[in-house]
This record gives sequence, structure tokens and C-alpha cells, in this order.
Amino acid sequence: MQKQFVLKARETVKRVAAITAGATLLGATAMGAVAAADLGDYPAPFVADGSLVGLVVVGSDAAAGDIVGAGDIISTLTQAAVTTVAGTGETTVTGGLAKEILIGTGLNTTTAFSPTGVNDDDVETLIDEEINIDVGSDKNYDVHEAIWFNAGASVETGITSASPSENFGVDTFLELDKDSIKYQYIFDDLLDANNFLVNATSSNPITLNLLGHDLEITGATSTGMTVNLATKYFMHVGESQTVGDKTVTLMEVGSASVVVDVSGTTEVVDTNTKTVNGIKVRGESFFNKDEVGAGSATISIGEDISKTYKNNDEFIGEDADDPNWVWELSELNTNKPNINISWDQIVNDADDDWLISVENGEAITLPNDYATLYLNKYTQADRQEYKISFETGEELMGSGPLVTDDTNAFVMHWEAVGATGDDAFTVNSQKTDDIWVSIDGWNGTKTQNNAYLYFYNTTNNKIVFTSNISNDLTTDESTAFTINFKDTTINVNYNYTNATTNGTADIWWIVDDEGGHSDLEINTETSAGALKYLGETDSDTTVSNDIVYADTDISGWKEDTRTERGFIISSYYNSDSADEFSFSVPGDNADYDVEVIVSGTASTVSTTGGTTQVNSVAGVSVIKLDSEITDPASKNLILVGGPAVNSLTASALGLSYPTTGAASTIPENAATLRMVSNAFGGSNSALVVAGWGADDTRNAAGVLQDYASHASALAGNSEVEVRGSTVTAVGGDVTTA
Amino acid sequence: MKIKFKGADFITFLVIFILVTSIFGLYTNRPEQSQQTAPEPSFFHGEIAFYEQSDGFFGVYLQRSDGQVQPISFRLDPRTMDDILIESDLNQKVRNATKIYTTYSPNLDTSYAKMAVAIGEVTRLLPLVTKNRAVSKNAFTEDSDPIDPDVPIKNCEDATIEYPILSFELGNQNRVNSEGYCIHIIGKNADDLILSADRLGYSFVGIY
Repeated sequence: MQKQFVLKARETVKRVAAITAGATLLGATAMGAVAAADLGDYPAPFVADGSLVGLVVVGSDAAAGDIVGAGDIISTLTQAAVTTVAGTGETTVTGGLAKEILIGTGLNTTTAFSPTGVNDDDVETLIDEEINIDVGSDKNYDVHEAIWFNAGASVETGITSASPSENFGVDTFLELDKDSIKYQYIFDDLLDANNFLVNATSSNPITLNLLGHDLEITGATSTGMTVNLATKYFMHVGESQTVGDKTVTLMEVGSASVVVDVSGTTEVVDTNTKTVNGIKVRGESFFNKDEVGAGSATISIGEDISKTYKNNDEFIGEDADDPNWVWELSELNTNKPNINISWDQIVNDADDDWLISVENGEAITLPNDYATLYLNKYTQADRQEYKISFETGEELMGSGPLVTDDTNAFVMHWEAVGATGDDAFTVNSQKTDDIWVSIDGWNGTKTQNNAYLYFYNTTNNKIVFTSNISNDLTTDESTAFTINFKDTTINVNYNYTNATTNGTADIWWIVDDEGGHSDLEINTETSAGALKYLGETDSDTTVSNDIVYADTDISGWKEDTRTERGFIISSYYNSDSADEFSFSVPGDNADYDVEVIVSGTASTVSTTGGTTQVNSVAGVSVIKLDSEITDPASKNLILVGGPAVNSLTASALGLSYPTTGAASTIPENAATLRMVSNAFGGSNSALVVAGWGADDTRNAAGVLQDYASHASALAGNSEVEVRGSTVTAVGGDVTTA
Repeated sequence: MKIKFKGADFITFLVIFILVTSIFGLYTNRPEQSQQTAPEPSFFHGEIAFYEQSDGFFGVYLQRSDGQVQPISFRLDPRTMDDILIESDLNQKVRNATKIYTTYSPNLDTSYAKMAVAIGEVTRLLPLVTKNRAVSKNAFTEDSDPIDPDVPIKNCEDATIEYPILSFELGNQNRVNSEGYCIHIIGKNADDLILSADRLGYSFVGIY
């Protein structure tokens, strides 16, 4: 997750200044003295050590189309200019609430948002206030807003979902049933008998501020209410809004009131609602200026018409046919009316429009953007991949007469991919990154069988026997070795079963209990007393029950999936024929959480540390006009636009400004990317991004924007010609990206 | 034995005396380390220290929540920022974005180079204020003349939580306001547009 910033007060800023002496900020132009001539190194030399040390320069005479390319280049540079910082990775939500929740957990559980739900103590923009009702008697009542979760809202993955599906891939998402999220407007005090909502009338309305809407209730039944509606508009003096058949014009703004004209009727309106020519108007905030006609204001305007909402009707602004949020209205004729807004969509399919996940970063928002619910991140990022494969002709070193050397063995290989610590497995107290398994050879039925475990001995660089494990047909399973990665420790068990008279048997490898949840089971079949392949038969085309998780056969899943404790199980579908299977484990499978955040309109999320990429481009200017550059040699420059529109491009190419046509040296109907070393008589570089036309310049900029895809075409060249998406080395090899 | 001072001895003593006292004087009167390294802020705007830079920019140091220091510079003098109206909490509009369109009309009578600068002033900050380090993409609000089919057309009605829009416009007032997930950055001319863009940039990092 990207960093947010906390602006510190005067003393902090002073302290920072004392530490750094402003060198980074004030001396930024001194950075980046490296000249480079190879386009293959891009974004170097303009980004170095995670910092932007270059500048995009556009010509003062650039056209609308020219600057599109400049924007594309900046977009890439801002992504490339990142640094990594270390810390604890804790998230702080100011004005919001964050909870770390295990996958498979409902939001209504005590480890999530129960029993208190979310209220103004958690999200400061939720209301907790006193309102006045003056229908039968003038009384004040305490009210507050809250967000609640019911059963049916839970953090799930494709394999933990109530309807498991490969279509979710490795995404962790929020599974939602109707009514699983609920906004509540709660009366903390009991209403007096003559102040019930059903007592409201047009002449004696009751006003509630609900989800940011000012609702003027003019009547109610036990399950419905009639309200006047108003909308807030930010307007400048002279601007108008059309409401119904009336035109509302802001005429002038004072310090605490506005002058509005509603289709010919002009009146002064302050922060109290006023009816002007049949339209309700109220001032919300005022930006008055000394200069006449320069002010602006936010004002609420609504038709003087009412709308009746009944229980289960769509909420204000929602699609009447397919609303996300609906009213829940009941007991409005009592001293404690129920006014709720509840979620009205079922989200349990990967194609659902309202699916939010850690991966897509989307959010469920309450109406009027009043509050936001989203899955922020996983609490752990580190993981280790483990791979299972089958090998033949392996040379194994035995241990005396019981387990003799074998120079041509069939083995099952468990491998910690890329591990170098020699500690990704523990077998017989022996730490290793690789385990090989062979089994007893036999003919006919056996009631018991041995698996022989080997590890890679780094002393003699041989695969060496360490222990054997026995399992019989009646014993459930026996522990063979453990998987170890950081705080994750999991047994891998061996289960011998289904022996037949023709010498075959099933051997299940069970990644046990996955830290308190479910087993990952891997089925192997013996063949002539040896382990040769995954599944029931060699090179089988059916993949039934080869890989099982939580009793769900996922052998045929074409997508990877994520388990409750953060395992990522790779799709076996495409590796079946190769008899290979892999999965990865997180650094702490017992505490693999997803961070769920409920935030309000004024919440700030910040991360206090963690190994996080932090954008570092912000501190310096990323773009300037050619006319603003007084010392072009002082910095690495990306010059966008040809010598006809960019004076520095002309200078870098040794041309007078402006130079057009063939004299520009720009190929006709194409563009050039030219790295000029020691540009402008200094030691820095200038990269010319210039096209015959604006579209050609944009094509060249597109190559830089997607430089990774063009790396081979750019490598080794200081100048290339870009024609469409084809990149051609000038005076050298021709390559097409 | 009676010790006699020769003229040469006296000169030697005097030289040593001057050297020692000079070193002592230099030590006791050395400037404080902080005085050597800490520049004085040019001015304070509210509680925030600003540094005027030689290129006319205004620098400010932010301390990130991870304790790291982040220098940021702007073109807009913070002392004049109140002249540009702006809504609050606009960073909420872009926070969940995965891609942000920066749009403008290609048919204005203005300096598009300065338009590019205005866009750059904002887009440099987007990876800081978006959850997913969103990328930006330039787009037109209407067809250019002649039509350029390679530049997407995006307007405020296209703005979504995932793909918000930053619309750079010319108008009769410098201001920044939103409409759903579309943020209007408006300047009376191209130079003012840069300042309005910086006004949004200040707000993105919490300076109002």
C-alpha cells in the first residue's frame, strides 16, 4: 500500500530541517552527474537509486497533441522513482477503523466489527448529536449513526467461499449477502408520544440528517415516510441550477448568507432553510470576496415536492430496478422508530459488479459516499514456493545394509524454489531445502510400506538418506517431514492406502491442517513399487482427486487459488501432464490476516513502516518549459517535441530554433529517440523524444512509457527510429518490438 | 643555576603561545553544528515552514508516517493559496484509483505547454496519494481537429472510483472542485491553471 503523509507541526519541520539542511530539496539539481548513452538503460539516467534526477522539458510552443506524450513519460517516471523503506507495516486510520481479520471470517464476529459495529468513535464523520423535534412538543433527542454487519458479509477466497470457484483466482474478496451491511439511524432517546415520526406534517416537519442528506419528513406511516429532498450545489456568483421547472441563480455571497434568485424571485438566505418561489434553499458554506461578484457558496436546493419511501424501496439516488441500498423502515409509529439503509446485492461470483478484493482495491461505499468499506492489504507479504516433481535415474546415497546406495532411483522431489538457506524443510532434525522420497519396491499386496527420505548434503554434495517413515493400511497417517518458512511450520504426512494385488497403492501426501484449518492433500500412485507420477495413472488426462483441499477436489482448476491461511495453490491443470505441482506458504500461516477498513469522508490512512515502496519523485519538479531552463547542462533532460516546438531540442541537435521539415533531421512520418551524452557542454544527458508530427512524438513517448516491452529493441542503441510501434536502431540492427 | 632567556627563546615562546591561544579561541568560539546546517525557513504559513528556492519554487518538508522525510516543492506561493477555492478531502476521490485520466480540451486557445506543466504538477503526486500507486493517462475531453483516434476521449461522466478523472479547464475563476469522482482544476488562464493544480497538490499532502 502506498504511503500517505502526516503533516507535522512547526517544531517537527524545524527538526527535519536541522537534520537535512535542505540538501535534498535545495540541492536537487546537483544530483545525477552520470551520463549514459544506452537507451536500453532507460529510465536511467533519469531515475537513479529510486529518485528522479531528470526533468521532462516541453517546448513552449507545444501543441495539444504534443503534451499527451509528455504525460505518458511522466506517468512512467513516477512509477519508476520509488524507494523502499523498512518498518513494522502497521496501518493507522485516522477517522476510520481498521481490523485484521482471518480469511473466512464474518465481519459480524467479535474479531471483526462486533459487538459495537462502527460508530462515531471509529468514524468521526458519523453523527452523534442532539436533534430537535417540535411537532407536539419542543424536545431535543440524542441520535447517532452506526454501520453494522450481519451474517453474510465475510472475507473469502475462491476456495473458502460458500460456493468454491476457481474464477476468483488468488483474490481475497468480500462475500456479501443481501442485508449483510446495514446503516442505522438510531434514536438513543425515546420519542415523546406527540413527537413520533407519524406525527410529522408539512407545516410541522421533522428534519433528520441521514447519510449526509437533510431529510425533511412531512408525514409517515409505520413502514414509510414522506420527505422533502434537497441537493447541495457548489456555485459561483452568476451560476444557476435548474430544479424542477425553476432556475436558481446565485446572485451574491455574504459572510453568512447568500442572495439567490429563483425564477425571478430574489431573497436573502442564511443557514436556515427558506422557501423561495416554491424552492427550498439553504446556505451551507460561504466564500465571500471583497470584489463584487467574485464569491461562491455551497447551497442546498430542493424542489418543494415530496417523495414517499416505503420499506424495501430504493434509497435516494439508487437505481429503482437494481438498487445497492434500500430503506428498512419499521415502527415509525412508535417511540423508537427503526430507520436503516441496508445493502441489497448478492456478491458471490467473480463477475459480480460489486466484488471488492484486496487485489482490485475497490470499495463498497455507502450512499452519498458517506463511508467506505474496503480490503486494504494482507498483513504478510513474504512467501516461499514449494514444488513437487518426479525424477528418474537419481543417484541416492544409502546408509548401510538396510538402505543401500541406488544409482538409478525413481524419486519424488520436494523443492523449496529459490531457497538458499538450507532450512525450508526439516526431516529427521535435518534442515534442508530439498527432500527426495523413494519407497519400498514390492509385488502383491502389502499391509505396510516404507518411504525413504533423503536430503541434499552440502558437505559432500550428494543426496543422502536420513530416515524412513512407515505407514500401514489401518493407520491414518504418519508425519514424514515439516515445511518451515519463517514462523510457518507445517507437517507433511504420509498415508499408505488402497493397496491392490497387482502391486499398486495410493500414497497421499498431506500438508497437514494448514495451521488449524484444512488439509492440502496430494495423491500419488505407486507403479511397480516406485513413485513415478502424480495422480492415479502416468500422464493421465483426467485429474480427478489428484489435488484436494478441504475435501474439495481442485485438480481441474485452471486458476491458482488462495487458502484460508494464505497458501497459494498453483493450478494443477496445466502441470498435470508434467506431473508437477507447486504451492507457496506465507511467513506465518497461523496469523495470516486481511486488513479491513471502514472509513468516513474525512479519514486518513497511513502506514507506519513495513517494507514499502515509496514514491520519491514528488519532491522535485518533473516537468518544465524550455523557457524555464536556465542551465540545461545541470540536469539530465528528456526533451519532448521536435526542434520546431522545443528550443532545447533544437539546441541539443545542434540546430537553430525553430527548425522544421527535413532540416530537423527527424525522419518523415516517424520519430526519433536520441540519447545525447554530455549534452549542452556538460556531463549530463539529454534524451530527445521528437516526431515528425505530434502523433509520431506520442508514439516515441509510448515506447518510453512501455520501455520494459521494448527493452531488447532499445538495448545497445543511443538512437532509434520509432515508426508506429516499430523500433529501429539507427545505423545498426533493426528490431521490432 | 641561573636560567637565561635568549632573544630566540622568547620568539619561540611567543609563537607557541599565539598558536595555542588561537586554537583555544577557535574551539571555544566555533559555530554550533545546527547553525552550520540548518537553513532558516523563509516563512511560515500557518504552522508549516516553507523555503523559497532559487528557482522561485516553494519547498516544504513533510514527515511521513514511517518517519522518513519527504521534501516537496510547489510553484504556488502558499501565502496566496487561499485565493483559490478548493473543496476538502479531494484525495478521497482518487484514493482507490488504479488509473487516473488527466483530461483537457484540445481546442483551446491557450498554451498547451503550460497545460502539460499543470498536469505534471498533479500527476507527480498521484503515486503518493493513491492506494495502488495509480498511473495517469492523458485524454481529451472532445475530439481534436483533425481527429486524433489514438487519444482517448474522457469526460466527467466517465469518472468512476477506479478510474477517476482530473479535468484541467479554463474558466472565469481559479478553483478546484469535484463532481463525483471527477475533479475540476480550473484556471483563468494557463499560468493560473498551474497554480490551481498546485492548490490541489497542496491539498493532496494535507496543506490547506
